[in-house]
Parts: sequence; structure tokens; C-alpha cells
Amino acid sequence: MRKILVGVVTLVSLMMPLQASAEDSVSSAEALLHQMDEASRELSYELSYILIKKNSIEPIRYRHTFEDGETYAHLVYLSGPPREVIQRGSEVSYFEPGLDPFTIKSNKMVAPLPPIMKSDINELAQFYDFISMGRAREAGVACDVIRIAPKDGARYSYLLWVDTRSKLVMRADLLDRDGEPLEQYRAVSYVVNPKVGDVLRSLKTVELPAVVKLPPQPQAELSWQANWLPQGFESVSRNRHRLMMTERPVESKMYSDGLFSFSIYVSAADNFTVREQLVRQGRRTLHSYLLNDKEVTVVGDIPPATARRVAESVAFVAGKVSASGETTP
Amino acid sequence: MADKQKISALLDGEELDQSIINALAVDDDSQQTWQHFNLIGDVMRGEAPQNKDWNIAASVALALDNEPAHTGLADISAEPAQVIQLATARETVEAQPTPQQAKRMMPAWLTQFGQVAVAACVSLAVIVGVQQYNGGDEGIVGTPAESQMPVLQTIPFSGTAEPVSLTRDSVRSNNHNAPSEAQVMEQRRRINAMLQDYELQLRLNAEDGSIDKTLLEAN
Repeated sequence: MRKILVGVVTLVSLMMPLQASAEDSVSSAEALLHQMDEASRELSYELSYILIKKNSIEPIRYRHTFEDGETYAHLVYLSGPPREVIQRGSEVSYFEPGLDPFTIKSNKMVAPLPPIMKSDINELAQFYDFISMGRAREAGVACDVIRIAPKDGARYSYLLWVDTRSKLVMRADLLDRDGEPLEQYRAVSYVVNPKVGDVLRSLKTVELPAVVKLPPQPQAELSWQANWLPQGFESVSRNRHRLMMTERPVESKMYSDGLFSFSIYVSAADNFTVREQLVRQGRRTLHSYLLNDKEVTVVGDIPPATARRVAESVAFVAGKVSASGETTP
Repeated sequence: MADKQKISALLDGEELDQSIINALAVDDDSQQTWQHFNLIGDVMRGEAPQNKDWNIAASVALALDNEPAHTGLADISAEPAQVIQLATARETVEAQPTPQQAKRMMPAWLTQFGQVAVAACVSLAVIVGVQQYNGGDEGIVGTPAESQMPVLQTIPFSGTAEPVSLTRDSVRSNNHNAPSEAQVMEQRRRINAMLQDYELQLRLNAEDGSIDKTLLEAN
């Protein structure tokens, strides 16, 4: 009997250090992400990187500085027609070909930046595992490799290379569920120097387009709801508007988990509506299907299976007036 | 003398005479001479053996002669091996316990418990391993069939070209069996409109601080 006891105790004691070391590496990975977050918010740096997708490579330069409590950042596409994003404090200006430049009041640049710079790591920790994957060399410097894996299987994961000294992201791979890379951000060179701040100081005096005054958008009460969402996705906004290109009225709800986001659109079906279709462009998935006389579309940075499940969970709440009256094309 | 000259020549590598090699193999005197010459050469080159018992070959041969021979049946008769009586062997050597004895020594439940414990350990290891590897996949979306769903891989937005394709059979058969070109065009336009609107919404809502830095490549 004693032998069995000893055996059991040995087994348990063998398991414990394994478990402990696993937790240890997780927490160290999380600590590193916090350091990365801090570094990318507070340092003055210039990062040149390429964004690799299935069929294209886009060189991009990003400059960032933090002065007097204000963030100044400048992102430029280095090839093709000039495209720029400028952040000055709480105003973000977008310059793109084919569109009048415009400025939005926002403290966050929406642009192809290496991911999870400036995301809330604590919040992400609820839905993602941070796994330390050892070390590797990227952009000519030694890097710690971290995997950001979703706790459920309903979204993509990231692989990050973080410079051991400056804690900036040197490379980021967006992976789908099979581990196939969808996108890669790979730094080519970077400079961490207060002089970058001097360069960006000129942004203070540059004249940028006036801030777009959006009519106050009431958070519309919509007559439908999604009954299934991947854990952690929360509604960010909901409204009714017309699509810019087709002037088609839609109702939309946007959800985000802090790292990825998606939108559900509901519009009236017509002759052109497709019973069910799935479109995938790199990280972006569009899944639409016909529900009674409505077309439900899910667009976002989620795997096709998740988009489909979300789309099929949409149900119309009985008793409420449908928006069909005002959405007839 | 002639032999000695020949041996010397052979040693110097000047002459290779089959007869002298045969003589070396057979004749003791010649062997002696060969050894002496070699020894003289070694001493002259300063490679003299440290040990005086340099004639290893001779000592090995001597030792072999002294060694008792162990070949054939003749040996057994000459030096009979010690035969152990079966009866005495049974007394001295510990016998293997019969299965009944073994059972008596260990309770049945213990042996079974041991087997079960081993099986449990293996399955525990497998379960733990799988869980660690999969990282808790409870919330996985849909069935495997769904996750294997075929997907249209279209070219991402890049500058001007924005081709988007549709599966033909997915197009609603609304009085038409095949979608007309205009229909397909309209559908592509709608898809692009939807994607563009999503980009715009992302930017407008970025203020909430909870949106990913997503790509912004719609024109």
C-alpha cells in the first residue's frame, strides 16, 4: 500500500513542476507583451517594414513619437500612389488616392501597423494565450518569439517577434487555424532615436484637413440580434446607414474583442441577392446568406467558419418593427 | 653469409626474392638473423625498445605453448569439467515460483490494480498531452466538416484591381438558372461596397480604443 502511495506522490510531484514551468513561460510572455506595449507607445522610433500578403508586398514606413502626452505618428506607403496616415494627438488624417483627405477624431490609427501595438494586453489575456516560443533573429537583431493563440478556435492567431533590447515588434505573422500565414509584417530596419521626434515635430505645424463632424449617430435599436458570438466579442457600435458605393441602406453592428473585429450587416434582399456566398481576401472574410427576405452579411477578420456560424445565428426579434420599410431600394 | 646479405638487402627494400621470404618463414637461423638485423637497425635509429623483453613474439609463443589446449573431445576426457548433480542444483538454486505461488504471495487485487494504474497513467499522459497541445478547444466552431469548408481565395485589395469571384451555384436561381453578367457585376460591386464600408466603420469606431489596427486598403 505504501508503495502505491509513494508512486502516486511521485507522479503528482512530477506533474507539478511541468505545470508550474508552463505557467511561468506564459506569464513571462505576457510581461514581455506589456513591455512591448509600453515601448511602442512611448519610444521615438522609425520602423521600415514590408507587409506580405498572398499576392502582394507593400513597403511601409512608420514613424512614431510621444511628446507632451500627445502621440505623433506618420505612416507612409513607400510605393505606388501616395497613401499616408497622420496621427496628431487625438486627430487622425487619412490621405488616399480617389478619396478626399479627411480627418477623424480618434486616438488610434487604423492602418496596416504591426498588430497589437496599442491593444489592451490585460483584456486580451482573457481570450488569448500568450506562449513563449524561444528566440530567433529578425531584422538583424535577436528577438523573443511569442505566440498569441486564441483560447477558443474561432479566430486567427499571431506570431510575434519582439526585439530583446528595444521591445519593438520586428515581425508579426497572422496565422489561420492550420498555421498557414495569411499576412506577414517584417521589419527591414528600425531606428530608436529622439531625433525621430524632431522630424515629426514638423507635423505640428502642417495644415491637415478639418475634422469631419459626424452627425451624432444614435445607437439604433435594431430588430435583430446575433445569438452566437465567439467569446469576448463585444458590440462596439450599431447603426443604420447607406453604403457609400451603392447607396444601399443597411443596418450594421460592429463587434470587437480588442484584437480582431467584425461587422454584421442586414439589408433587404432583392433580385441580386445570392442565397449563400463566401468571399475571402487575405485576412478578411465575407459571408452572406439569405434569411427570409433579408440578406445577412458578416464581414471581418475572422475565419470563414466563425463568420458562417455568426451569420447563421442571426435571428429577428419578433414584435419589433423591421427596418424593411425604410430600406427598400 | 649469402643468406645474411639477401636478408639485409630485403630489409633495405633493395631486393624482393621469393626464396629468401620462404627461407625466413621456415628457417630458424634466418629468422634469428632477420630479428637481429631489425634490432640493430632500431638501435641505430634510436628506436631501441625500452624494455629488455623486446621479443614479444617469442614470449607470446611461449605463453601459448604453456596454455592448456581446449579443443575437441580429447580435452574433456583429459580434464573433466565439474558436473553438478541435478538434485544438489535444485537445493542451491532458487526455483521459479509457480503461478499459484506467485498469486499467493501477491493479492489478486494488487496485481490488477497495478495493471489499471499503468493504463491510467498512460491515458492521463495522453489526455494531458492532448489538452496541452490543443490548448482547450472546447469553443471550436462547428464541426470538422464546417471548418474544412472550401473558401474562395481572391486577390486582396491592392491598388486598383479588386476581383472578387463567386461560386456559380451559390447564385440564387431567381427566375434565371445562370446569373447574367450584369448580375455578377452587381454582386461584385456589392461585395466591394460592403468591404469598403467595413473599413470606414473600423476607422470611425477606432476611437473606442478596442479595435484592431486593421488594414485599410480600400480605395
